[in-house]
Amino acid sequence: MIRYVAGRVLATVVLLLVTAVGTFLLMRVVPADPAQLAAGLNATPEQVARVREQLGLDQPLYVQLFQFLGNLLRGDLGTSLMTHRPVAQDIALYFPATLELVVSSLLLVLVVGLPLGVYAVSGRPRFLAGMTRIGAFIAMGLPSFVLALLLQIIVFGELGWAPLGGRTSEPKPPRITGVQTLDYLLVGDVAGFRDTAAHLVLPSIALAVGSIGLIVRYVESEYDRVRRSDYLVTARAKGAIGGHLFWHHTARNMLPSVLTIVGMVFGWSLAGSVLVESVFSWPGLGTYILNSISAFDYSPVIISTLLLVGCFAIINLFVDIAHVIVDPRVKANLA
Amino acid sequence: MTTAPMTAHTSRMPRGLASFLRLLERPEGAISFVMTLIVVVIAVAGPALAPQNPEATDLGAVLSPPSAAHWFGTDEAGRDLFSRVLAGAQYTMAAAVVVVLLSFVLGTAIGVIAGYVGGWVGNALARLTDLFLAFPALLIAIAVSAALGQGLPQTVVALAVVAWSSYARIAYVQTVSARNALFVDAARTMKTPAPRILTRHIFPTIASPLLIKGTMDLAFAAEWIAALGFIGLGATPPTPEWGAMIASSRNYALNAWWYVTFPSLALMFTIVGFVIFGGVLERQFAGRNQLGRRALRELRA
Repeated sequence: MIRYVAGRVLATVVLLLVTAVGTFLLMRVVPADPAQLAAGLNATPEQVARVREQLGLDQPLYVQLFQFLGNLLRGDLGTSLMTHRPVAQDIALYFPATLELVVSSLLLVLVVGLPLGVYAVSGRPRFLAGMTRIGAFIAMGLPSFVLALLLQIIVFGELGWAPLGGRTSEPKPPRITGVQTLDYLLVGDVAGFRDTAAHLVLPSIALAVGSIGLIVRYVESEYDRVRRSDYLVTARAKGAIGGHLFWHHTARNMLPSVLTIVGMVFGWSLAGSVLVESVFSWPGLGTYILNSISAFDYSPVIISTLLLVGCFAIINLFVDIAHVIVDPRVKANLA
Repeated sequence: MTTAPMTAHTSRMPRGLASFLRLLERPEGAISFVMTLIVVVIAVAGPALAPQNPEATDLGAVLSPPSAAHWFGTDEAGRDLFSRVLAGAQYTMAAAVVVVLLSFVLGTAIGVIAGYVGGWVGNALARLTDLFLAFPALLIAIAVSAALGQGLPQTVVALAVVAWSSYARIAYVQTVSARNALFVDAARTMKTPAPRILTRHIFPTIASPLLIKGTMDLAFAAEWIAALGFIGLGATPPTPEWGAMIASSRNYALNAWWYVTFPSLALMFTIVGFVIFGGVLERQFAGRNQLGRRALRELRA
């Protein structure tokens, strides 16, 4: 078990290292000259040369690579040309908002997707269960950014039930965790909490629907597989029925693989949030990335993107470890 | 020959009309086939079908609602949306096909070579595949296309860079088991050169899961191309690319519903058609190929 975990941690570290090197190389193929950008468009060639020297861009590539990795380890991610703040500071400002959105969307995926997946296999009436299966395909084919726009038009524009975008219309809470729903609760501001929660609803739905379709399809096929397995036939033959059969025999055996797909969905939601945030002007990392793109400020783009990749890798690591814990068969194989 | 490796080479892509007709027997098979057919026909013939020049502006008819003259209404420059949606199919499908072809060829080559050669080369290639599978593709595509700059060709390259790994995985697991199959042994005994073994003996037996993956990937490639166009990294306006059109419709979403609706419907129609068609193909043709089906299933997870 310890060897397995150590191996997975090592693999994650390698993945992060490769990611960092990839980041560096990507920043070097950017068509714009970073020194020119940093010096400003009206800079004289001498000024550009001076900035180039200051930024270390005149050094050989491998020296720059090691400098970059060293800076990364010290948390120095450079300065954003757009906000004139250190990129690390910007990320600390924007990332909690992204996390808030992704987590609330993931909750929605779990609460809606898991039961629907089971319903799609064994639900009554048959007709509705079949519709659920077709619905799952359609949900998978709905691009999140299109859904986001349609939600804005219908729920905000026609019905007026939810705010158009942004994160809150109340005075901002003191910054404690950066996750606003939590911050409002921590200072006991119920009106503020409600307001932020209302702002969260549409973006979370837009981000969740595709994943719900995916989870339904996945749970459906897993449930079907487990239901036909020999151990379930045995359990039924021995008289297990109803809730006991489902929770102790079926659900327990679906748990490891469902855990894996939930980890994947978390990662995809992080990626998908870039698109959804831009539609709802949600002040998260995605909005930061897109604003930096339109300002031709590439290094925050690539660094934030790869921060998200890092999160994805770490989530996968946790899922793999949890996998060993919840599935004794895997543990037995490792021993 | 009743053991596991056998399954890898019993699957063949159907060539006869009969098996194709069987595909259309199920309602979802028939419906999704017609959907994909419509998309393909429009992609090929779209510009010829378009009643007006998709990039011609008409400032006298800015943002006009659907009418007999403009079936889907017009955009903020008075361009005919019906013509633009039809023309857009070509951009999306051509780009999606190129993305899938590039990643298919690259991934299959890497997977087949890794599986056949084995040893440290094969191991290294398999590790590389795992590494790429571990990345959330859309994010990497965003970073790569930000680095390459705006434009549809850049988007295509960025997507191919991230999408090849699933083909490599599917090809790899199947090649490893086919490598020691009797027919491959026989080919080796006859001094068949390795490239010929790979392309003529192994590839046909492992092709069907790869082709199924390719069909489904057309849907995702279309979605990603539109997504990158939407965030301003893909095609540039006034190119009638759906994602870019949806992006420019955002400012008018609340007072010109038709502007955002029709390009969105076209995009969703395309994606849903290919997703369902891929699912139907998977059910029908991967069924006899346990190994390939498992590889596909794991990737969907």
